[in-house]
Amino acid sequence: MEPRSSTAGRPARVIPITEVPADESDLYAARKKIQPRSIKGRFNSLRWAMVWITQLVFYGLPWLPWNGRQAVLFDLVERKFYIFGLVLWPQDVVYLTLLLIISALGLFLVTAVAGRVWCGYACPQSVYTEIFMWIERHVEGDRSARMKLDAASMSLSKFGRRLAKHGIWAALALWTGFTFVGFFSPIQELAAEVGSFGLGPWEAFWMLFYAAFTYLFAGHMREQVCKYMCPYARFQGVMFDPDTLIVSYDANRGEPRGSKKKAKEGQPVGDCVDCDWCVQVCPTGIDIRNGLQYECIGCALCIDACDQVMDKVGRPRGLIAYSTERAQLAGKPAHEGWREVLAHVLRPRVILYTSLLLFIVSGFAWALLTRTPVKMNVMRDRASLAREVEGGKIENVYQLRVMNTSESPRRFVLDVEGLPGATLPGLREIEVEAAGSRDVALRVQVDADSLAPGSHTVYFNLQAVDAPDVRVHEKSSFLQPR
Amino acid sequence: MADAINDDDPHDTHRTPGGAARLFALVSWPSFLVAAVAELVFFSVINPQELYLLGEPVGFSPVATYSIGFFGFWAVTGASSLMTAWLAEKLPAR
Repeated sequence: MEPRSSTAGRPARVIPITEVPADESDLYAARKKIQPRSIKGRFNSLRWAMVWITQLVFYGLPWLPWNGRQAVLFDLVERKFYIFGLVLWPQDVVYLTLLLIISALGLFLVTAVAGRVWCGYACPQSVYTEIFMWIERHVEGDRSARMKLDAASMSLSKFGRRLAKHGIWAALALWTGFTFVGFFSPIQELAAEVGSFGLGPWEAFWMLFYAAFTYLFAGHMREQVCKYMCPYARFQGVMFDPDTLIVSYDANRGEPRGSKKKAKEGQPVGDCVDCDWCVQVCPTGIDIRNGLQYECIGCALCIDACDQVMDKVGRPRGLIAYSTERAQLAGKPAHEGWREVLAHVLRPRVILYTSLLLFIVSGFAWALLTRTPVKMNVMRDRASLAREVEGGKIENVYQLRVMNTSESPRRFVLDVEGLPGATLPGLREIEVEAAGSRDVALRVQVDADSLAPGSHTVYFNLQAVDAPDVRVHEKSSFLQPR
Repeated sequence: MADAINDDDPHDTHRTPGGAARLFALVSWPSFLVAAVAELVFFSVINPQELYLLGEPVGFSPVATYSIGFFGFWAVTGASSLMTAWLAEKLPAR
């Protein structure tokens, strides 16, 4: 945003004001729709492979069964996250935090090595835009057909094409919204509810909300999301260094650009034939020949386009290619052999990110593997303090919540420690269902004359019957009245 | 961001959001992201069923509480973003 100019510290000046008629189109003047040309090639194929992989996972995962339940389900109502064999409880928020840190570091590492590959190949914004553009191309035709359609006045055929496009977009967006909600609410039941029009109001709301965002972002806003709304696009510059892979145009080889006609006229021309294909294929509408720009999402479609043109005019490929700033300055290709690739990759920043990542990943794995699959909360019952019971004993009551985070039902035994002669009347084994919890009211009794008045520390030991190493130890206090 | 568009130049395909789209990009979106983080942090430590509303336990379903919580966060972060955007626009140049 351009800040307004200041008058502070300057003598006042009189500026003549000429009235300019208000221009209503100003709000939209800066808009020009990008209609990218579609292109085939190595990088386009790679992008489509990534579309398939990410979307098979996204649309398919909620339908995958596991031990008679949904394999991946973030059950908000029960406050339990199921990720295949792993069941996470609210107490496990540390794992979620670690996972987020690992993702962030992974993104840093990939960015330092290969630039914006996340943006170009895996970001949902890119992926859905690609899918939506594919639909658009099949309904409205290629780039020139679409531009003609945009310019044409409304007719029955234009209306029909538009309706078909938006209809298919909306259907895909709704399916995406449905799948999204299916990660948080069991998808089989959700499907049944949708089928019988019995969807809960909030589920319906979130489905439509996510669908509307998908439709808006992938259908209409597209590159504007990357250019104006994405924080990562703005700060990825700090992760770049002279050895980071970037899509770049070899100006030494290409310039002065010009057509064959120019060359015939005897003017000096470089390899760039100025065919404009690199600009036409660009989903963000930039000209890569102007150098590295923050708008470039690194999708490499301009490389595919230029390679095809170079093949046609019989010049070597690579006028636009993945390169590095260092290689460009030295005026040579990015990587001449694996030794050079290795030298580029093994640099302090990359080694630092990698070792940090390895450290946190191993910590995460260790914590998960050594996790005790049982948790216990102990709360002294505040309603009834200590009381005297038959046989000259003092009794305290506790509320226990035993959580079994394993995938099979388990029986546990409990005992107390730290109080001489303490007994647990009426306590049998505690059985807890798989991935379930159980609340138990527990009475602890001690001989009245064996304890001094006041608060005493007491420990509860919970031990699984079937596995000696599955046990927890929790601390609480026992009150002896005066 | 104030790129002028030259319709005669085929290389110039910039489009910059204006008006409502600008407000969406600068206010609704960043506040949405921050509200999502706030929601995640808040409800990962607090059980919606243990909340009280005006002295009464909340009677809504958990999904309703999560949703209302999210929009509450979004309203607050959105108000803050809106004010920042407005103040930044009014800020004199250095």
